[in-house]
Amino acid sequence: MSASTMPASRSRGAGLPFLAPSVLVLLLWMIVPLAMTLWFSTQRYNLLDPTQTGFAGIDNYYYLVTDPDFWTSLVNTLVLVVSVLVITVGLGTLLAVLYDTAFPGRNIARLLVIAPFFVMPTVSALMWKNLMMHPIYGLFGVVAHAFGFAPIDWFAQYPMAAIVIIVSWEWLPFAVLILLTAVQSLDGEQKEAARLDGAGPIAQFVYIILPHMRRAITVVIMIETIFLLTIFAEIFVTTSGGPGTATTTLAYLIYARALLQYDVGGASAGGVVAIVLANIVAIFLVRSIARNLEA
Amino acid sequence: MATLTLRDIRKSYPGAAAETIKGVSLDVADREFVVFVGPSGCGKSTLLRMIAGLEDISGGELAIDGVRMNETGPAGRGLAMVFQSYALYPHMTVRQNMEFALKLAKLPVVERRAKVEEAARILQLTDYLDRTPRQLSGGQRQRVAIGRAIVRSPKVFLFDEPLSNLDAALRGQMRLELARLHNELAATMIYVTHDQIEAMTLADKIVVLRAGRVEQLGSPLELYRDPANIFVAGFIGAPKMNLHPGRVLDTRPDGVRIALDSGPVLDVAVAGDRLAPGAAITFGARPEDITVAGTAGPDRLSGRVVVVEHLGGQTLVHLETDSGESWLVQTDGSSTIAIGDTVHLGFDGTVSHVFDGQGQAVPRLHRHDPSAEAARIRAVS
Amino acid sequence: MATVISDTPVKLRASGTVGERAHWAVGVLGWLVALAMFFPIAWMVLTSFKSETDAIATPPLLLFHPTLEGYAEVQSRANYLLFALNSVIVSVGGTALALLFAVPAAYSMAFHPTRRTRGTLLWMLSTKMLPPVGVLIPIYLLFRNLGLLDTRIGLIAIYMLMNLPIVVWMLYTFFKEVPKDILEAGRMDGANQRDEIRHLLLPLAMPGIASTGLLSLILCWNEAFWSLNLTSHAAAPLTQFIASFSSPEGLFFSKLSAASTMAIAPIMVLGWISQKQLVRGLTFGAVK
Repeated sequence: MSASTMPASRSRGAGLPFLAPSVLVLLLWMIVPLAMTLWFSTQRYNLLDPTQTGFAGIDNYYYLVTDPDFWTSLVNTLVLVVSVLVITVGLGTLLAVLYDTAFPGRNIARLLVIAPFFVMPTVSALMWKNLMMHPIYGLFGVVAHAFGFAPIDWFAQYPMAAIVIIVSWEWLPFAVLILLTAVQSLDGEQKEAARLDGAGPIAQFVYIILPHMRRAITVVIMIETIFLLTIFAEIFVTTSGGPGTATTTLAYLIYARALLQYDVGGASAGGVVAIVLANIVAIFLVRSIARNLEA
Repeated sequence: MATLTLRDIRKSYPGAAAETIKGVSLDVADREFVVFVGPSGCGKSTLLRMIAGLEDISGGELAIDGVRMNETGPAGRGLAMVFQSYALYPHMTVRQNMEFALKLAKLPVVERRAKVEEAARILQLTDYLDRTPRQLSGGQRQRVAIGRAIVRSPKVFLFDEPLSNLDAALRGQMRLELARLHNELAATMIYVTHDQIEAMTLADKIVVLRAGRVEQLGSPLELYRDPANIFVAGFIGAPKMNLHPGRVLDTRPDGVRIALDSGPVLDVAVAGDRLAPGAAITFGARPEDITVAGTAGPDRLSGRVVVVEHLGGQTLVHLETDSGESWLVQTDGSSTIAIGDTVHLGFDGTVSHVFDGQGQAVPRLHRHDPSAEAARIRAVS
Repeated sequence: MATVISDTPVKLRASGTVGERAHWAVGVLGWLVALAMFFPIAWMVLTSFKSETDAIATPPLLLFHPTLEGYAEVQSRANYLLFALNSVIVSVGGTALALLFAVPAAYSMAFHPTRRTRGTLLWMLSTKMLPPVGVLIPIYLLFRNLGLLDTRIGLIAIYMLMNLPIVVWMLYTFFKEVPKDILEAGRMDGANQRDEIRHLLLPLAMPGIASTGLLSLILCWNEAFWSLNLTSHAAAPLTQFIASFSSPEGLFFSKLSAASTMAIAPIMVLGWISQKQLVRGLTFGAVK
């Protein structure tokens, strides 16, 4: 019986084989590594030391939370995420309003603003490290020098600030892109009505535009958080987590534990922490998306 | 030959408490033009889609030419459907649109071409065969949608509110064209609409649906002259029938005497055997059956004119009685009645309607006779 | 009206010099910000046309003899083409595979929804929110044991899985926009599901499928967690190639800039083309 000769309900059943492959691979993709991470996190398991085996219980977690590096990495992660969020969402909101306004060449200006988002992370990191922030040859140093200041060795003196600048530059376009879409969906008549009611630009922004953008801002914050929690390449190619542990985030710590020290158990425990952190945000994000889904 | 039989057809959606279609039975004869009409949400489109095979039938039996079709898919039923949105394939030309079904059926190219060209000729689309739907006007798109149905030589044509996306002028024109087409193709057609004018003008048989039930089934004039209940009375006919409450005073062999709540006492030629004196009833009179009388009287209704609509050939007078009821009267185009006037209305008891407490029509003594109508139609044509 | 400064629907300010001036102020500000944001990229492109000595000259040279030295060197010294080829293969491969899985899934959910469809969609999204670093170890070990480390096929599989939720989601929203009537008309015309997808859905949803593919391409091309951790040379894409410049073995700004410019140019164009659809894909339709 071919699908077309079947009544509606049976052909609907035929939707399942279409869906199954995607569901299956995603299920595997989620369950298997997750279960393995959980399992490893309870194991004594170091790739360099095959004699070290067996059940570790919560030892890995114990070592993790008693390791000052772990707490440093959590603080670093928090500093990085919060700083970048404040910068990108704050500037992003203002820029979204700016680029919602018509001016000559706006479309081209808009393309320039969102361009950094399409630069691969390793490129933006090295570009900033060498061409902009290099103490001798970087433009920042040259400009500082020209004005008689001592050039700043960014990655030695303010490594976290340097990373924050790079990551903010990468993610500001994302915030602008999303928030601009949100601003543009605002009914122009609403603004005009507010203006007839005597609202100036600031009143309009506070009472009309911001409330309208609230939802989009929430979404930007959540999505950025999920990505920022796992920022890796920028740190990998610029500071390698240093100097010391100044720029070691949770993601980088896990990487270092796993692939530099081959401590599978300890790294897995860190991985579990990362998953839990991301899931706290993800729950809110999924709920927010669900509200918009009319399926 | 194509007949269609529905026996106690039911539709329920999982999770929904009430059935959407609550047992519909219907016989569609060969070459008959049947119109499903009813307010939005009455289930008429669902019923059509169940016939088409796009929705499952939850209960009852659907047969085409006597063969049970419940388990057959849309393509296997030999039906064609014209959608409200036309549902033309936007990426195909008019020719490809019409050819699609034939291509899927693996018909030889020559045969395909002949069928498409024949349909295009009938629909005056020959010059547009190589255009895409985007380049066509609304009326032309409508014709392509019909053409797509015609080429398949279906047993039954199904139309789902096909004219509702057209502007008023075009709608009138397409209505005529559909009537012509029905004649020319000698096809069985089922047509869904919420527009009772389309229903009246096109149908051999009208099925009035409400909340998944058939309220009444019959020829347009039957429904117009003898609505089975208040719902049909109010739904069929434009402008709408006046429906107002009253009370039975007395029953006699030649009718009943009623008193309207707004005052007048009337004799209406309906069978009184089911009514007891004092029973609450609803009185119905079509605007065109009411006359404007010169003087007041016990069988007259007096009211103040609130709106006058001059339509040219006729005038619609809206008036309000002292008791607050709104009445509508149709008079001739040269009427000089003005807003604020007090007018007196007279009623013809032989064409008025009485509905009992349950809203069912009390049989009229001068019923519309379908066979007489049929004879008249034969005489005319 | 004089207080209305920054907001400038043109139609409302046909007259009034204050509005006129504000208009220009907004334009200047808009352009200044845009140029500032784009400046590092522009500077990098400029540097890529300098010789190595010009590139590190202080003060930096705005006027110089443009040269393709940097580009030539990237080609000759490093095996740039291999990395570029890897990038193309894994991005296109991952995207094609994701589309292959996602089209039927999105079709099924968009046109034959069941009570579980909504839950399935949201669950798919939630898999996207699993932090890669959380599953780095098992994936790394699995890859090692399966011999998938530093293979294109391994990276393609990862990219496919990584992007599948987004691709399914975007296709779902695009498919939802195809009028159901048209597919039903096809069904009445005798189309089975395969005909329906091939002759009706795919042609109609092609623009949406294309922009979904574009987004997936961009995400694959720029992906820098798995590519850095799971490849070293044989299957290493451009992200890895650029990362190799981080080792301090001398300064080669021109070469770095040339390589970077080549690595980002194609994807930037694609990104600009698909910026509208990007919003839909990146926010899972939560922002419209």
